[in-house]
Amino acid sequence: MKPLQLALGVLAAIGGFVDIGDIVFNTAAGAMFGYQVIWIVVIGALGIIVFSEMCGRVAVVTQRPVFDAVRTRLGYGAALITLIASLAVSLLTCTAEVGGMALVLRLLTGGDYRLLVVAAGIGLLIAVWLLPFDWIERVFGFGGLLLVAFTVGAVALGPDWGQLARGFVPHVATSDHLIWAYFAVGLFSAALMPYEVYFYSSGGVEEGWRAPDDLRMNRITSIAGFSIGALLSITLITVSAELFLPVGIAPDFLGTVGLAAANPLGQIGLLLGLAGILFAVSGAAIDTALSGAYNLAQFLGWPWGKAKRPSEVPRFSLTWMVFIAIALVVAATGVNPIELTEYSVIFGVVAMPATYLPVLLVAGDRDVMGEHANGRLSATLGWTYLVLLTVAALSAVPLMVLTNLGQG
Amino acid sequence: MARRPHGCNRLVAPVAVMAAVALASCSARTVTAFRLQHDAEQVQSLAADGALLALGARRGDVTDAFVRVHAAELAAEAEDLRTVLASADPGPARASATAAVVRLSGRVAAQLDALRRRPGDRPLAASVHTTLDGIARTAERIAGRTS
Repeated sequence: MKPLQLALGVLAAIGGFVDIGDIVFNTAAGAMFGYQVIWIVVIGALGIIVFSEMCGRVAVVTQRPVFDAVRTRLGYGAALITLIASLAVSLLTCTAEVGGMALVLRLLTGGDYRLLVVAAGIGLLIAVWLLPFDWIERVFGFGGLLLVAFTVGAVALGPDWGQLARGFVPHVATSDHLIWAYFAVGLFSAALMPYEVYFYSSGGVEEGWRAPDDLRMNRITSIAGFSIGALLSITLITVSAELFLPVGIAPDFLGTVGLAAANPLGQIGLLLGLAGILFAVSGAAIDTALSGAYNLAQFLGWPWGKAKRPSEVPRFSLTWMVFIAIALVVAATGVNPIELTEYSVIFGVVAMPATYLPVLLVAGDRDVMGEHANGRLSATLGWTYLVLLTVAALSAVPLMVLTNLGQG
Repeated sequence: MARRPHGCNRLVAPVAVMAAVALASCSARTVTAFRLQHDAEQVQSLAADGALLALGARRGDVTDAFVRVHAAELAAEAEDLRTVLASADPGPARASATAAVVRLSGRVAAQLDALRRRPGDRPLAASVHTTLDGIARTAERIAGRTS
């Protein structure tokens, strides 16, 4: 295991943790409930660590990605339903991310939204076509680290450290219980978007991870990368709690989020913060498009791989291109990306258990995983999160309807 | 979370059931106490957001492009809110408070539109900041009274 490779992987995971769903839900929750929601982000981050570590381990040992396990364990019919749901959620998320890119570009340049959607879509196509897999991870992961502008801004705002620390202790908000529950599910789900693990595990297979070195790298990357990445989410809650909550601002626009960096740090904070959001949502758009292509190719048995030349994997390459093209066309209709994000996060968690369960079963199967099967701690965490995910999946849509998307 | 425009002109939901729920909520024409409180809180939010933006413009913390874009989206939201609330039936009990929210919403839209047109004008930004700050406090009081 090379230290540099490990450090790069961890940094990319940190920068890649936040996407438009995290930005939308964390700032909105912070503006409404302040620090009271921090512990939910921690629970969500631990969930993505557990899931991605299992996916990475399964990829290292079996050399097979997530959707292979889904098809094997669920059977064709159930796996087909899971595939359709996953593709729909990935496409929805990709559209939200492309729209988010255009919103940020508009705030930076003042240009026309629809033209910027087209520019964003074409930029993504070129980036995925030209950049090798590890460069995609690094360019957008490292760029996402510019979100640290919000961390500096949070510190500069002089937060109430006592209240912030109390936010890590699990508790329920004292008022608006239904809306709080909606945000709790949203924050949990935003940290656990399915496309993240599809991309992570397929990437592991692409890069040819091998035991034992890559098992350690997988563990460290998952734990350190996603833990520190979660701090960026908590930062967004902090700036929101300090700046928006006291004056009753509901941050429904990305511009409002930008003000959270501009207010304490000035223009440089604004530009760095917006650039961080741009890299984060661009990376997530690429991850979702590739995840869609990975899932479809793995399910149908097509040759796949970003590392291969497009002529070697034509159907896989065509799929990610079609994904970006559809996202571009839908985003260009003027659909509100922020609203779309809420739907993608909520429906993401609905689809999650069907993906999670097969991975949990494979990761715990000693016949398949041998000595690398889930130990007592992994199994306990794994099954606990299956329960949490199932509860979140069952309650997400009713809460969305009952709270009118958290508006009350 | 993301406000759905009251006029529903930008509402595109990915699921038919959700669209039906949203359309049903948009078709309401009567101003209930809940809706008035909700709308007053929206005006408070838009005004406070605009005040923060104007403060940034006054201090030079934000670029002109940013001011133009964000002021325009806040102004459009405020104008949308004003139009829909003005066309609703408040009933005698809530006529005065509804008219006040409609007026405030219109003022928010006008102030932000002025800022959008002259993003680099710092004295104007200072004035807009003060005005929107006051509107946010007034809207907060109305929301508090109707709860």
